[in-house]
Amino acid sequence: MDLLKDSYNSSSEESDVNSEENELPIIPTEILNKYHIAPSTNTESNTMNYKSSLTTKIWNTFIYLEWRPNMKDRRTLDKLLDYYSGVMNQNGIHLKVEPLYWSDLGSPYPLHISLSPNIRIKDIIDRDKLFHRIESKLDKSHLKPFEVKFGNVPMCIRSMTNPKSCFFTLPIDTTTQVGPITDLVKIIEESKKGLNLETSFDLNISMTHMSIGQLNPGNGVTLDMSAINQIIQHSISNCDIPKVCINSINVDKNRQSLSIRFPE
Amino acid sequence: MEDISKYIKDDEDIAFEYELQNDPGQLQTWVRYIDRWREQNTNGLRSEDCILWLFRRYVRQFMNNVDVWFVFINWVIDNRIYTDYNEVATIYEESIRNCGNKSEKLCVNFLKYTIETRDLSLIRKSFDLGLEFTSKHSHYKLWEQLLSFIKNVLISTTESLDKDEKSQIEQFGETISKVFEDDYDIDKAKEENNKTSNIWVSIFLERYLIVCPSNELLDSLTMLGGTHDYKRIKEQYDKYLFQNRDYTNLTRIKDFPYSLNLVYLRVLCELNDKSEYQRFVGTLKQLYSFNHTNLDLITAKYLMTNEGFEALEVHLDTLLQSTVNIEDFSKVSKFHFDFEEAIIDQCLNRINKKEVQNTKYNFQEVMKVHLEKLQMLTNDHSIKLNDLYLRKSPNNVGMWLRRVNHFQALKEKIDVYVQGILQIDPLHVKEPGTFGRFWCNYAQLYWDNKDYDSAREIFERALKVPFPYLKDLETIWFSWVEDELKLNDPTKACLLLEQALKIPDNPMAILEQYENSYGNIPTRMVVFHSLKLWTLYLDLLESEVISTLDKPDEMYKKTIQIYENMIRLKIITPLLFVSYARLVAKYESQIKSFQIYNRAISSFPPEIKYDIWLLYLNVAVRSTLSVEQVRDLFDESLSQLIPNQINCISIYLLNNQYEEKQTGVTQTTITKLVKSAKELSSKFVESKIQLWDLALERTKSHFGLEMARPLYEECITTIPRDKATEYVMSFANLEVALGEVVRAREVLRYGANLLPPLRNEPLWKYWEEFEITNGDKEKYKDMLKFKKKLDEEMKVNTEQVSQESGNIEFVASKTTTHVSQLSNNAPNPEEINLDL
Repeated sequence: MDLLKDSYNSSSEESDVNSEENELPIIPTEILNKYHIAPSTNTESNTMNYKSSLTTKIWNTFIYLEWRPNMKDRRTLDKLLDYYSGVMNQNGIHLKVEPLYWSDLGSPYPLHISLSPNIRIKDIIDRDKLFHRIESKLDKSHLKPFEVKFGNVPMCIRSMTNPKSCFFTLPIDTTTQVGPITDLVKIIEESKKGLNLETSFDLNISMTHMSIGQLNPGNGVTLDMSAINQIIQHSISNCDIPKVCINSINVDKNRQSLSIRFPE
Repeated sequence: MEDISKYIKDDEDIAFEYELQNDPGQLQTWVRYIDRWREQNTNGLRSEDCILWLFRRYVRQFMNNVDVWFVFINWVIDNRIYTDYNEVATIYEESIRNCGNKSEKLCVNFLKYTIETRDLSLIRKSFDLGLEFTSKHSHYKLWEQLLSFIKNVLISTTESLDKDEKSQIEQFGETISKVFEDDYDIDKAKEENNKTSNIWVSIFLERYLIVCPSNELLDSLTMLGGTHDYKRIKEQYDKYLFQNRDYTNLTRIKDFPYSLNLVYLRVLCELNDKSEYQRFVGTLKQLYSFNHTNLDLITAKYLMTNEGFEALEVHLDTLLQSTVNIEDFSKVSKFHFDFEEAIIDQCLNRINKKEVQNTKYNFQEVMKVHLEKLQMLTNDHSIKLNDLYLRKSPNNVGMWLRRVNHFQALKEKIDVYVQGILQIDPLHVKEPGTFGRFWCNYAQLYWDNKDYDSAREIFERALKVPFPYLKDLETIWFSWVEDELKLNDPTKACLLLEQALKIPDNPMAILEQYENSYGNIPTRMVVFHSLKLWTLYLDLLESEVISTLDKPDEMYKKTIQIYENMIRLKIITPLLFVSYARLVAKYESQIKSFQIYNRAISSFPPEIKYDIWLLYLNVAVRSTLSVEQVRDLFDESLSQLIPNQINCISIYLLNNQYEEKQTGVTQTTITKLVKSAKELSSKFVESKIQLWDLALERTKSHFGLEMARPLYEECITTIPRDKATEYVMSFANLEVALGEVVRAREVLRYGANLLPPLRNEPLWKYWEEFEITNGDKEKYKDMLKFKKKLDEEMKVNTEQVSQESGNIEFVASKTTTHVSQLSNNAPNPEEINLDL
């Protein structure tokens, strides 16, 4: 599948043919949100749902900020990943950083800044309550659309779900963390109070980041995070990091993503 | 003193005068006297003036006598004494006043008379006089007359003016013309309206409402509604219907006739009572929520008159966007078109009269705006109609696709796709594949404009839609792959298909679950089972195998894997199996390809097996297989197919062809043909005959005529009788050729026995010619006798034949099922008399 992803990168250049006047409107976020998550192909869960839900149903949700890089942004990110792939290669780590802004099928894919882990809620009413609380609190807040600033030193973080794999991330700059991210996290913290969560969670503002790539070593290889991060720190790229403007927060609900816009 | 001699003409008149002088109160004398004069008048001997003079004296004498007045008035009216009806009215009034409370009959007649004059003030006068001089209990007689006049004459005239004579455009034209006036002022206009309204009627109805019985209230209010006296109508409606203008009491308002509510709404509109109007129309919409277009159009008229044309346009646009049925849509649409035409017409009229503008309007500009609007309405009509259909059934993808075609600009088309995708609920789309096609068309716009990334983003998002039908997902994958192929990079296309067709660990179990899940298992889980996509993948790979010169091995292996996957998933078709075998034969070995044929044969039912076997054997006979191996294959194919009653003629012929090629024509090959003809099911007569023909032809040509004798004997006894006679004649020919006339005659005798002479004509004709050529008179006679004998012997007893062969008989019913039917010995209606 990487091959597919790789093979599509070049197609960005094909898009150059588009002149400014002929530029077509981007695909509306509403469409992407309506069909955000594909129907599950997990045989077991489907079979269970189909037969009968004997076990307690858990409602999943996830809160995040979404960014849809445009063609220019993707090119900039390509350069950044190429640069660090090269750096790691020079230091004996022969792995390619796979971009996360391309899907497995090679189409553009949005990136996100997680504001929560996968939240598992025991009651659908509580799931909806969480959404409405966030919506109401945001409406009353003074939050305005903001620009996310990133630290200039990327960081590799081990994947929680697959310890062999790791993410290549852009850490959020302290000014953004202290400002709007803290405000948002507070809103989420307050909104989840009293809800029937399967496992409670705490949000670590200092760790907020945006994953832009992934490293997948072969079988039997375990990556040394600190070593990789040291290599990165010693060879910081001069590439510009794209500016990311955020004007809404996203909450997953069933297979949709609901966007709550910040008050203008 | 009048000259009495003018009137008194003869002695008899003098006698009457004396008598009246003596006793003026003698009624009979007056009556006789008047009758005499009236008679003279009829004969032309006396003028009406004379009679009038006498009648005046008569009524003066009996001032309080109703009957006397009645006779007099009737005479005056009947003889048209006065051309001015006021004179008659004066007599009526005088009579009523003189007769006082006894004058009810006179009052009723007076009103009747005045109604006929159509003089409204006189009618009012007579009515008022009637009320004054008749008792309360008799007032109804006067009201009855008056209401009948109002209802039948006054109101209906107004209504007909309203309804029939003016078209909607004309009415709009009048309204617009008024609004265009420099000095147009709504309140003034209302006053003008009031002037033309039927105040005379409304005043009477207002009075009647006070006394009318409760069961006539609604009718009376309806009549009042027709007077256009809006101020009074509102007062009375408020008084009798909407106490304190309380429009919230829905149950009460619901009981009023719809027409009354509409009248009231119109009144509020005419009186320009905006807040009241809005309140009331809101109530009515609640009440008549199923169909409030009429109310909306009344509002539109209100806006035209009171709020200005812009507000009206907005209102009509909103209406067109919200109607949910064709009838309402047509009404609103017509209204809108009529309005635009009327306003353009009015502008044009003024411009033609050199009035380009006044203090309020520049008519050229107004006309320009409305011409544009009219053009837009015309252009957008089909779009708006499409809107309507989509409001009714938003999940009708066909309608959305039609909508796209209504727009020319790319961005407009994209807008439609976006709206459609956001509005359509995939689970409620009824036609498989249409929503998938819709997504693909959307992506295609981007692809065609070389925005490949966006197109891919759309394709991928489409794959996340929970389509209930596999066809939708197939369509999307297929289109995406086709698009990638257009960029001349089949590798991308192959990679996509690889992803689409990933086979899960337990595919057959998943398929079973899917089929039994009633939509609970997403369709995307069974995309791996799409024959369409697998076939596309195969086509792609095979073309790659052919065109890739440097690494055919890799592509070939991949292709083989695809075929194997399809076999594993049991979706491979016989034709694909054959393609597989051919591919293997080309790139590996023929022997391996035969294994594929064998697998194919074991995978399909006998009918399909036959076709595969035929293809297989065609390849095998040309292959390097040994003769024995090929013979084994033929035997195996026949052993599988014959028991299943398959017509294997092509295999038999191929086998014969093969054997003749190996050994030439031998007794063995002929025996094999005979064996084939015999073992083939009797269902396939033509094929059997084909084999016999071949065997006979080969025998005669290679081993001489004599050798064909046993074959003929066998053939004639095994094939059906009606086909056998042809071979009998051929056999007889053979015997004649061999000089064996006797044998030939015996063969013909045998053949004649096969069928009744009537059905065996060719043979008998042949036999006749045969005897003429080869026999003598005796033999000919014998033949005829034999034919006659057979004619008699071979008469078909159909009943017996039917019984013998166990067929269904048409016989009278012998069973009775019901006791009541015992007496009824009606014959079986199904019984048919076969006259054979």
